[in-house]
Amino acid sequence: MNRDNNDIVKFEKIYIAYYSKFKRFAKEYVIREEDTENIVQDLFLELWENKYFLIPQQNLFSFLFTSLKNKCIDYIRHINTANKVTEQIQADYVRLLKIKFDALEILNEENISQLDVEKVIQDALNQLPDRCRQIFILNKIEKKKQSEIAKELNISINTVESQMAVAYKKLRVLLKDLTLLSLFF
Amino acid sequence: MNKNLIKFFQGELSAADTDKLLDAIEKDKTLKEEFINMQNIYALSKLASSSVDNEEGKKGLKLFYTKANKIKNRNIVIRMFQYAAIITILITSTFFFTKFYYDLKESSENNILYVPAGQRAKISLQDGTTVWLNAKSTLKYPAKFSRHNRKVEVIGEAYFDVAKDKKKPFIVSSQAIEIKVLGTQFNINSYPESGFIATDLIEGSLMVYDKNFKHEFITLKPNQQATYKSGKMYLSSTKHKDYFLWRDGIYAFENERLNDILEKLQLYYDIKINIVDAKLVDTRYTGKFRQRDGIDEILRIIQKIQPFNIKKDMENNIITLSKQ
Repeated sequence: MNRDNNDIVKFEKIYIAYYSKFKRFAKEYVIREEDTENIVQDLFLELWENKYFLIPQQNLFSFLFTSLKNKCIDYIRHINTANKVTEQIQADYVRLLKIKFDALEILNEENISQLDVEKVIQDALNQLPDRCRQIFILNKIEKKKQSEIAKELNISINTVESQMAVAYKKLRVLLKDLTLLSLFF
Repeated sequence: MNKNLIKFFQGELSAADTDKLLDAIEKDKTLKEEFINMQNIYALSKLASSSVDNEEGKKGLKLFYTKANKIKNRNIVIRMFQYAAIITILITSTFFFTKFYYDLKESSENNILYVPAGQRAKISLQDGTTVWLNAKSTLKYPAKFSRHNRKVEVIGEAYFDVAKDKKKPFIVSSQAIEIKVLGTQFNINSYPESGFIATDLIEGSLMVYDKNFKHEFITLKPNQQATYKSGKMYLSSTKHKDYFLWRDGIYAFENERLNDILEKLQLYYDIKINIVDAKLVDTRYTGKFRQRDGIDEILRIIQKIQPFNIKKDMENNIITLSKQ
């Protein structure tokens, strides 16, 4: 496929901006690293082949995000159908996948396509108290264990735990538009 | 259960407790909703920017181009991604209508399909025959069959669903033997490393013989197996039919010794597995695995029946199993 330099530059910019985020997100549902990698690379291959990188910037993220979500859904569905034959094997992995599948379906597609999802999430995190946000990012995005965080920040594990609870409570409210669940709990 | 839920999302819940948590979730709708809520909120928040994004993005880009280039460099159009490990190749051959070319014994174009470890392939031949190839297998086939017969060569493991053609026998050549059929479904297991060749007939009829002793052929009936070993041909019954599910990516073992299972896994995944404790070798297992699960997952599942320790040497691609 002959693409001019402009296309490549546009494509690579988008790729580098979103690759890691999409991987973090997808892995939460698909669980396995290899599967996550494949799904995300597939997404970008489609982006490239169909020239989706020409979509206006403000809609692009939501578009890709929706596509990613659907790929995850398709993938889990695919595994579940194949798995009907392997009844003898435990399925903690598969049971987890089933629940994560249900979670995926509850994401609010309408709002996601209309909102600037990236901004909504970034704003939500910025509204957390500093310490709280720091701990949350260390745990969720940099994947550090509670004990590591406690050591690094010189605080107790209890503090880490309670701050994570605070973060979750606030984020549930701040991100409520992106899911269809009630805030009953 | 609430506490365990939080622990789960911290990544600090043990496998046993995770199991119990899943049990609880499946029964308790409220708990399930809580899980789902946490699941989504945490996953969404992971879309926030991180300092590592740039670097990871560049690494990912390199992988992307490697994959994209592999796709470009094929002669035939193939879309192969590991999580959809079935490769279906449609060969459209150009038909030469002159008798002059039609009489060639060996077709001018021989194609070779090689399936590496950890993969499977499914291919349709010019006559409508379907061939499934297992991991580490090679099929050599002409784009167009000759006038008198349909001949292919195979090494490794293949399942054939041969299109009926009474006028043109279908001949499969593999190492020292040949199989001749008219229209049939059969499985051939012919890995050079294993020291034997096993042919199982599922449907139809089949003749199998040593290439050097064509007149000493065995005719198989459905559910019979011919094993060629050390120059001799043995007849027996097909042991367990689920075995042929491999072509759908399912490996089924019925009361098989761990040793035998591991030998197969080594073939399918191109990895060396050593067992340190001889006692582990004889334990028998019955089960089904998906090829796509990968070696780690399969070993982990087997481990649940009789525990053993798994040590991985990633650099040299060796797994060592020892008693706990």
